[in-house]
Amino acid sequence: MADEALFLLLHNEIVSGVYKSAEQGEVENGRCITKLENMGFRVGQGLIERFTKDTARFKDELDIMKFICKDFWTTVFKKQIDNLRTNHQGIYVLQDNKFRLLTQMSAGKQYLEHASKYLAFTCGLIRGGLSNLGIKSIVTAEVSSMPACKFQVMIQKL
Amino acid sequence: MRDPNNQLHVIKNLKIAVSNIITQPPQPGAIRKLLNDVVSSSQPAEGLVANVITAGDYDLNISGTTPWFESYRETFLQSMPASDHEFLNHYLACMLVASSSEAEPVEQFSKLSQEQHRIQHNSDYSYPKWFIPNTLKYYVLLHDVSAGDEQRAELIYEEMKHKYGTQGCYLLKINSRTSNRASDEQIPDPWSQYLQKNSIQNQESYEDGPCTIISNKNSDSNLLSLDGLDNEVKVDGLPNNFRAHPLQLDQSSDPSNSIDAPDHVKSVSSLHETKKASTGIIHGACLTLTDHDRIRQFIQEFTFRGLLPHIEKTIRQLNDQLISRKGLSRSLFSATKKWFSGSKVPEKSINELKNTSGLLYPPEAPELQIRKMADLCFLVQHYDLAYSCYHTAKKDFLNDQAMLYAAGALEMAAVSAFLQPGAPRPYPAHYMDTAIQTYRDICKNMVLAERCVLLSAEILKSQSKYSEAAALLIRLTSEDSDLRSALLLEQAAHCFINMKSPMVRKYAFHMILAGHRFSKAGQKKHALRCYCQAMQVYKGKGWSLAEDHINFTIGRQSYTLRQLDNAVSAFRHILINESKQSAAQQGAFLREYLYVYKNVSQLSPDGPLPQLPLPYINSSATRVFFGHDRRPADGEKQAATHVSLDQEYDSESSQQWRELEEQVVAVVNKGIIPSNFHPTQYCLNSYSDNSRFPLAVVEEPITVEVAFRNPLKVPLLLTDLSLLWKFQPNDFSGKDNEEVKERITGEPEMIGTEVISEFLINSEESKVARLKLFPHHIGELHILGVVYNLGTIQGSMTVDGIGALPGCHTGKYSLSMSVRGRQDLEIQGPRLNNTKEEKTSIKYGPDRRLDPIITEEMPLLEVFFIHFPTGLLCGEIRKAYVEFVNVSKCPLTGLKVVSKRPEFFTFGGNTAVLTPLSPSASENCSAYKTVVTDSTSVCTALISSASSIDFGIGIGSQPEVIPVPLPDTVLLPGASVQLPMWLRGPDEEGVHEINFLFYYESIKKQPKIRHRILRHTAVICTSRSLNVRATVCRSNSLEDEEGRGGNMLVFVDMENTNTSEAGVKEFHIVQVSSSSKHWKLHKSVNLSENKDAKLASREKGKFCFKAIRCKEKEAATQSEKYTFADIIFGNEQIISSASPCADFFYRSLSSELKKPPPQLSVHTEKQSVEDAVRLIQKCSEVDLNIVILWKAYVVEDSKQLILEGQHHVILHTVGKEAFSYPQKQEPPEMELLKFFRPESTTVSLRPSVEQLSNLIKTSLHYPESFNHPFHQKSLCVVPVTLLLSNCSKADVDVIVDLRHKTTSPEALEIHGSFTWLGQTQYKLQLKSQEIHSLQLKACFVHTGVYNLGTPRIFAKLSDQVTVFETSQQNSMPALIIINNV
Amino acid sequence: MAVCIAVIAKENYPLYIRSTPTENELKFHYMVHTSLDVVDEKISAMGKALVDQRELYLGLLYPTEDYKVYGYVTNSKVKFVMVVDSSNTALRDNEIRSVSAGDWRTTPGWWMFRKLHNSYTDVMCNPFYNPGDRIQSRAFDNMVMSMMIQVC
Repeated sequence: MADEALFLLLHNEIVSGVYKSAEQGEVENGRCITKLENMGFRVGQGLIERFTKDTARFKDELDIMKFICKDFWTTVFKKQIDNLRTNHQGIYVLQDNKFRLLTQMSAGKQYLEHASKYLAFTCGLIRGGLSNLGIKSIVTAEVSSMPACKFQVMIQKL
Repeated sequence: MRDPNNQLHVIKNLKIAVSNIITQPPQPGAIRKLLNDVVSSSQPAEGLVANVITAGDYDLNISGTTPWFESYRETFLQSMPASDHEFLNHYLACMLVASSSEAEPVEQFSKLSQEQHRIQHNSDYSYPKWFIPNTLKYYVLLHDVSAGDEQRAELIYEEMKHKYGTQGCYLLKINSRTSNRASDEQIPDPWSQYLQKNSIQNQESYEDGPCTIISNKNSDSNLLSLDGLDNEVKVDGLPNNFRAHPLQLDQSSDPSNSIDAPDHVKSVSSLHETKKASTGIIHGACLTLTDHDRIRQFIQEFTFRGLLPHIEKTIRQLNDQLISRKGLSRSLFSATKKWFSGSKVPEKSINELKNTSGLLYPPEAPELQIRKMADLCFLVQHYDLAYSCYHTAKKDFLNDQAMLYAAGALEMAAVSAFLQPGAPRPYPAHYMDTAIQTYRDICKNMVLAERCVLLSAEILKSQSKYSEAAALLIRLTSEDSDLRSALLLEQAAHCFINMKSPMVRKYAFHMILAGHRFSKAGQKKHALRCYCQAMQVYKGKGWSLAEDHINFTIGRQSYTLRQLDNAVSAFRHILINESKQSAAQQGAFLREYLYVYKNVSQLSPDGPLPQLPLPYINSSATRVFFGHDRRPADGEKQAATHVSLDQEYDSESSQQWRELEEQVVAVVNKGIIPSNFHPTQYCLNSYSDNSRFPLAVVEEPITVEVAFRNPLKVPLLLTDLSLLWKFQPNDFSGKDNEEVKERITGEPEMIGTEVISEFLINSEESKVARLKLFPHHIGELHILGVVYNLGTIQGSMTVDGIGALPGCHTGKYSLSMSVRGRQDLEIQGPRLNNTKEEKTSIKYGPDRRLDPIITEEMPLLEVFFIHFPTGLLCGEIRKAYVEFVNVSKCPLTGLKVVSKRPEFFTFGGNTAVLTPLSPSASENCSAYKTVVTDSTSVCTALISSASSIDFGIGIGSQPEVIPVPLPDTVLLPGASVQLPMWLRGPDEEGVHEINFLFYYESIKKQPKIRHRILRHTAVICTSRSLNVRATVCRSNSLEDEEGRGGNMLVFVDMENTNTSEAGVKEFHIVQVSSSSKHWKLHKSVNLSENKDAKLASREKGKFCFKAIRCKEKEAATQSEKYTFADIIFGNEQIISSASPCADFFYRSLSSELKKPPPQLSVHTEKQSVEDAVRLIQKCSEVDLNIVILWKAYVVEDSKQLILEGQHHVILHTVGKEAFSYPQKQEPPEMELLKFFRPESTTVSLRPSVEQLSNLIKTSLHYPESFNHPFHQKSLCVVPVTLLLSNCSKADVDVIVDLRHKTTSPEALEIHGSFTWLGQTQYKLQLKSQEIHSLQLKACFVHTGVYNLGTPRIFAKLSDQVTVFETSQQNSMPALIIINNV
Repeated sequence: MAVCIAVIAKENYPLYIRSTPTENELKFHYMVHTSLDVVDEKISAMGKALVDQRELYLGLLYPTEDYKVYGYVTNSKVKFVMVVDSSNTALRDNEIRSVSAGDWRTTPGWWMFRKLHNSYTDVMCNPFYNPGDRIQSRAFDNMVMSMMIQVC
């Protein structure tokens, strides 16, 4: 993983870039999130391929989720997921109390409405990683107060 | 029955097989043939419901049952020849049958028994084999009730009883019904179901040829024996085949008594007859049900009285032998050696050990006794005993290395172990394996090995050890027998799919292998089936190579099976999806495909043409063009670049054309574009608007461009390529006869179709074909697709000219083979996205590109340009000719031409003479209309005048739309008109594309097509020529002739900017003309020197002219009248008021006029001020237009030509410079950030200073030098006249102030001060245009040079409150010299 | 030394197949395709195994009379299949030992597959490759070729 600062800044630029292009009307505004999410998806695919190169084969779904929370998260965001919860019917909640991509913005409620922009990419990242590991899923994120956020992973049973 | 140690042992479901004693061991060849037949004869049932197996993402439907395999197994086992090392299919008992009708049945019996004995113990009968030396004989007296009489039979039976004992003999009565046809039918043939099974025995016996009776008979007895089965089959639960197998192996035989008993024939004759009569299908038609019972009963008797006791006895004997041997010695092995020492010599056995498996025991050898016993036990289903025996036997055999025997023992041991009720011991699979190995490797006996494998596989399967079974089966597949390998492989495949985690791919793979072997074994159907099965797995999973291969094979197979449609579709698959095959492969595929395809088409020659898969057609790229192709240019005759398929689509140009057309249509329809107007589209493509049915004109060709693509690596050759269409003629619309037409069967008088005889598409090439249709009839045409013969190029194969493809040989390519087929063109319209549900759902609009409506005739115009130049100087005038030809059959009218650049060309105004001398004659004579003038009357202007109306420049009329002055407004069919056309090089240099759109209509109005158009794009390259600048200013000079101040000076600067090395030598200004409503050039002021103004390259010249007002009357009367004044430098006058000069002038003028004049914003409250301002402005306005006409002397390839041209300068205001070419203002540098929108600047009401200064014209008149004797008189007074003339149309109050407002000090010392004497301030009012003179006196005190221009004049409109005071400083200083004398 | 090297997508369609004797390419296609069954089998078996045995390398899938088929599955369920001429013993013999020793990493087979995996990862991270397409990358191709000709 590149130097994190670089990643963070680059990420910000991506977000703003996408939204700019939306203003120029190249993408209609609603699709920005999707666009970011798709970017993340592709990146996630690539990353997971790299990261899992040396790991042992995964035992099961939970095993994979743990990998995401520990190794994957650490390599990308320099910290682990603080808390992983699941009802054992394929819903996982990954909680990060100090999510890297939000820390630059002020804590608390300010900019809260902008948070979604800065989570879309990561949602894609998770989804892409999982899909490359053969798990179809829907990843959503929610923020209650700023640097902390929750990612909810819903596994699509096929 | 009881076993050796007297346990009661139940035998279920015993089967007895009976066969002729003479039967020979079946020949291997015969067996193979037989097996083949059996397999091929049993095919999967049609309505067979295949069960779907879902494995991973595969859903395969596979029929679990393989009847062909079962029947194969059955037959195989039955056809096994009996061998020495085992006794399972050796004969156990013998029935001796004699007919009661014989003379001496008893003799007969004894004879038979001897016969039997002879057969058994005599060596020359190697076959059949007998189980034990003393075979059970069972004597049967056969009594034909219909023939013989009861008593006799009974008697003989009694006799027999005496002789052989009651259990040894039996009286069987049959044929109690007389054979009458009628009654035959209702009793079903009781035996038919069995005959099939034992057909081998029948057949064999047929082959080894003793008379049919026997065969007939033993077929009877077969059935009888099998009846025994049939009343117990229900009882047993086990799958039939397991049981069936071992029990079928024992056979008892009945003696052939017929050989020496001809009289016996009669006994069964009735049977025989019925058999014959009913063509051998119905057996035992003469048997009544009671007979059946009797027969059954007989078998029961035989088994219970005869057979079983016999077996029981034998077993017991054998058992005793063994027991005794055990008693003698511990070691069973050595004991046997001793016991039966006579039988076999040890050392013989030793050296027999050396040679391989084939250690042969003599039939009575003790080891075999065990084996025998084992077999017997086995036969009577006493499996555990059997197992133990086999086990011991196996030991022995292994000890003396009798591999064959050992293998047999092992095999049977395993089987019996498996068959043991409740399976006390696990199934010893390794026994089987070793057995198989031994059979195959050591004693090279494939048949036995196969049997072994079959058994073992069945057993394993029943234990659901599928993988093992599969392995076993696969191991046995070998080169020597394709059929066997195929069957086994198929079984293996089924094993794989039946595993608890099904191995789909293995299944598929082995299926393919099986298919391969099947096809090698000639089992086409099975082969095909296998491949199809496998296909399910490979299909659409991205394994293209495999998929292709399978498809190919399927294609082949189904072709050989004449399932042509399947074949075609299979091959289609290969070709369609982009195959990764090599070129050679594809070639092969293609040829195969074509070949098959041709056969199909031959099968149904008059069926609908099949859809061909190749080449691909990019339907959306299809283009349709209406009209003839463009004529190539001949000589200087150059046809209009209309529209053609060669021009590719260009959006903004097409937009331009559309605008042009709208303009002209608007003009035609009094300025409003009709609502139903649609721009005419001659070429339809994916960009054009295809939502409406296009209109085509009858007798005009329709060209369809189809875009083909060849996906293959091999070239494709299309022959007889033509369009396929459907036509509904309008006139007999009552019965809409739609004939889908093909070239061969079409009606040419309806629509003519062009055929491309050969069209080659190279490998992976995209190519377009242009196909023409010639509608000869009005109606609705629907172009459906294309028909062609698809073929490939071959070395030099000649095609066999079947009817489908005529004229293929003619080509330079000789094609291997080709099939006729079609491909449809369906074009999807644009995606609709207007309404809500259209947005949500994906809907596509129609595309009517290919459905033109053929309308009745329309005129068709062709335009040619003659002498049309490609290069011009800016402003150059060139005369060209246009030829209009009406090539249609109906007259055209209303010809107009519209262009965005009307100033570029003219056909000459109405005044122009419309009798053009032919283009040839008009070579290098002037484009202008000239008259020779005497050179005396030079510098004064020659006046002429013309109205702008004559030149079509009315106010408000669209200058772009120019009606073409046809001599009599219609152009008759076939007629052609040549018109002169003057061109003027545009003022900007560079390349100009100028679009002409010719508009014309038919004489008779038509509902569908109002008008037609013809396009032309002219490309002109202009190079710089002259650059003219002009200014006008008021002359201060005194008014001499026709005073009343209003004459001005016009300064014209011209520069030769032609930098071209093209050899433009020099420009001669031949004439300068003015054209104005109120002004005219009067005379040229300064041309003392050069008479005719030459301008060499980069030279500048300046001209000065005097312009005067026209006479009031001519100025006032007609406003639209323009006065032309020509000032000539040459010796001939160009009449500037005539074509073409005036035309171009007006055109340029009109393009000027199009610019809106500076409109003053209306402020109601200061109304007065405005018109004041307007007045003031007016007096500084002039509308003087200068036309400079020039000749350029050009040297082109050593011959000089003279080019002519003209430039226009339009002067609006005094003192302002005007240019002949539009000033190019450099584009404003783009600002990065826009902070605010610039608000519109309001025009200020104050007239500018210079405008005001033009209000009054002043001039001082005085002697230039004045001599005064100062010594006499110290004061010198000089009279000075000040002329004030009012230029405006209103009264002006003027204040003249003479008081010295000392100007700047240095002005003082330059010219010393003087004083005005007398009244120093004058107030006076000037009427409009009035000239007033003031007499002033200037007083000087000493000599010097003085500037008199000191008076300050203030002017104001007299009726105005507000004063616009201006100091009317006269421009030049008025100097006076005072001398002392 | 390998005669055929294939990369199979997790949906079991070929992303890449290259075999040296091109004439019987078809045979190898069949072989690889069939081997997938075994791969699935092995994976399902692998699931239960302990962590340390959960190795990406599957070792020998199955031997045919004249070829040996080896398999490897990435965590992203992408399969690498390598067909090796059974005449060449380099793989097999020290395979046996080390596999019995329970660690694959000493076997040349393992190393080869590692190489394969690495360059596959590069392909995945190549912006011009979008996952699931056939692999066109020249680099990957060369690597495979080198593995085919390389003798060991």
